[in-house]
Amino acid sequence: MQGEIGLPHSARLAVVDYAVMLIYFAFVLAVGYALKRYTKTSTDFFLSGRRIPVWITALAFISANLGAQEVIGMGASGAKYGIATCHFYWMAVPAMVFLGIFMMPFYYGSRARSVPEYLKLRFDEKTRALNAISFAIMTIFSSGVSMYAMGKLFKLLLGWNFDFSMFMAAGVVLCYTFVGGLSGAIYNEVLQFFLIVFGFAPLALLGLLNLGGWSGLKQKLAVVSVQNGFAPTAYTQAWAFMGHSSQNPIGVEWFGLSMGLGFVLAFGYWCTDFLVVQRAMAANSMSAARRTPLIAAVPKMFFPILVVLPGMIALVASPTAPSRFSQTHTVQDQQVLPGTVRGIIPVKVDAATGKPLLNSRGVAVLDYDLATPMMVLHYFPSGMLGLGMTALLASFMSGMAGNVTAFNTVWTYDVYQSYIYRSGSDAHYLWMGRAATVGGVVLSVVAAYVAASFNNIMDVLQLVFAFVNAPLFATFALGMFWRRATGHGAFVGLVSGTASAAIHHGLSLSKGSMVGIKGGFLGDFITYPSELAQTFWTAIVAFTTCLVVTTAISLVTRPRPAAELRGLVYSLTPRAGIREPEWYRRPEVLAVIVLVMVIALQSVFF
Amino acid sequence: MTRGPDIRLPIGAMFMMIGLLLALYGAIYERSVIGMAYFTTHLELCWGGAMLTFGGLMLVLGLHSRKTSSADPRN
Repeated sequence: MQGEIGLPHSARLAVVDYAVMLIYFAFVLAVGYALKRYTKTSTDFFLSGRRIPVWITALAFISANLGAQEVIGMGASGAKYGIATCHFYWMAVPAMVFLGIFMMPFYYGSRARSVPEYLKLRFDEKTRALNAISFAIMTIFSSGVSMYAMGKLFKLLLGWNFDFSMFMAAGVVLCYTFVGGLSGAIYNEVLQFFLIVFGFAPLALLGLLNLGGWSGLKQKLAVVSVQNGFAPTAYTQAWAFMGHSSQNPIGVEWFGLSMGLGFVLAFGYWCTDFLVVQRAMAANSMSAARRTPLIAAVPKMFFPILVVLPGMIALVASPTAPSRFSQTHTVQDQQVLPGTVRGIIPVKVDAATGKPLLNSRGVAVLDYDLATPMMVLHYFPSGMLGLGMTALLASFMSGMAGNVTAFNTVWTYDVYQSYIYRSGSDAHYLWMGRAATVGGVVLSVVAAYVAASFNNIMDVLQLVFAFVNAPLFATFALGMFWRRATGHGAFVGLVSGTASAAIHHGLSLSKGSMVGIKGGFLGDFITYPSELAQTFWTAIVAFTTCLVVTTAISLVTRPRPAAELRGLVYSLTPRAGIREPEWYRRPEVLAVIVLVMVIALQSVFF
Repeated sequence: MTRGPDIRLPIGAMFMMIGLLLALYGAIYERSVIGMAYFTTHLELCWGGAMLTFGGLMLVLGLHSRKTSSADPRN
């Protein structure tokens, strides 16, 4: 069946596919409802009563992050950049280790109910307010963009009505988060995690079998690599070509990659984003809270097999290999110019003219975002197709639920209770949490329609997130490890860091990009070989600015007395005397194991 | 502290249902071109069986944990 313009095929789901989806929806709602009787207080609703076992918090920790942008985006990056995309996962591991070993004792031990509340305890109200408000806005837009992407994708692939997809998914998420609170979100994230694993694992397996295994994939990617002007193994070796930005598809050298992605962005996200930290804070003990990101790091480092590898395969998979379309259809070429390697990825088409979009070299631009969805359509027969689409749906919904539960907590504790109504009862704040859940979902739907109305909204939001997130780790690191850091320093540092990110972006542009959202709006003074390189260096500038400004302002402003900072600063906090008797429960041992594993993994794919 | 429900039970039940559905569908209704190209048997049957096994394992673990927990005099 001919799909929409730009897509050679769309699919029709069989009864068995819908049956798989319905089973999933039924269980997701049932889990939320079953948790209703355990959600009696505001602590139950916002922090799961701090009683969740560590294996659940660990899986929820990564599942909450496994939203639409992750699953679709990493597949797209895998197709565009090859194995270098895995750095987004492997470089997250040191940040997760740092969170578990050094930062969770403060988040959990300070009894802060949210990350912004930690900032209030450590610094002052204005720093908390800045973080809380920017975080609340970001989560709503992130949730909305997820919904928009989901609605658009399901319309394109299955012909579903855009509004129906959105309202259905939003309605289900609203039901289980309204009733079950954070526990509803966490328990369903674990269920969704396993569904995503079982939904995408056969995709990677079938793709590799189709191409002759890893060596076959390497051979085919070598052709693409040489065609794009790189060494044959540039798409399948993660570090060997990081000496210079011109040698690898990602367009970044080792310093920009390590510092920008591995340090600033990874630590900035994994150590300070309340969406993931909230899952660890729901654990049933300090030891469990510390072990949460450490245990989560193990599946995290292997997840590229499920999300990045399908994108790499999609780039070189044969459109005429056995697929659900091969018996009745032939793949149409879609006016692809000679020499364009595209595998099963469709070209981007100009909606106005219906013609393929071309880059500055006159080569058709591929719609990389469709890499993973096309893999699902290409390889999965009926039944498995329902499983694959349900796994995609699960990833969208877990991301949305994560954002909504983080939003309702930050809104209730850091905005409503702090500035609007301070002396309410616990029952009142529980009620407000539920109201905020409804409000959060409604606002997400609004944000989704805004995204649908403005072409570049997603690019704008990505940019804003990068500007706001990049300096955060500097603030937290100074707050936790330097008792001299003051509230004035933290606030001015955060504002300066964000401003410097915007300025750097305005003064730089990546090769082939137009002035505007992509940068250069203050003058094109710095040219980067790729958008990722520009993003990484923007993050480095923001972090450094925040660090320097926070330090400078702190040195000329009065710090708080040491007695007020006990439990909030490393040097003023007594070390916990309790040591786990079993070695595998000790965070330090787990940290070493996890770091050795990720180093070994990178050595294999060096 | 009230413990929550064991998530392994609904995970196990869901995977067993979906696994059974896929396996039966593959066995009865469709010999997929894709499956036969890469496997000596049905893809749906194989993967459905894998999900069924995983679901069963989760159910056993969940039920065992429940039994141990209810036998613990501290609960």
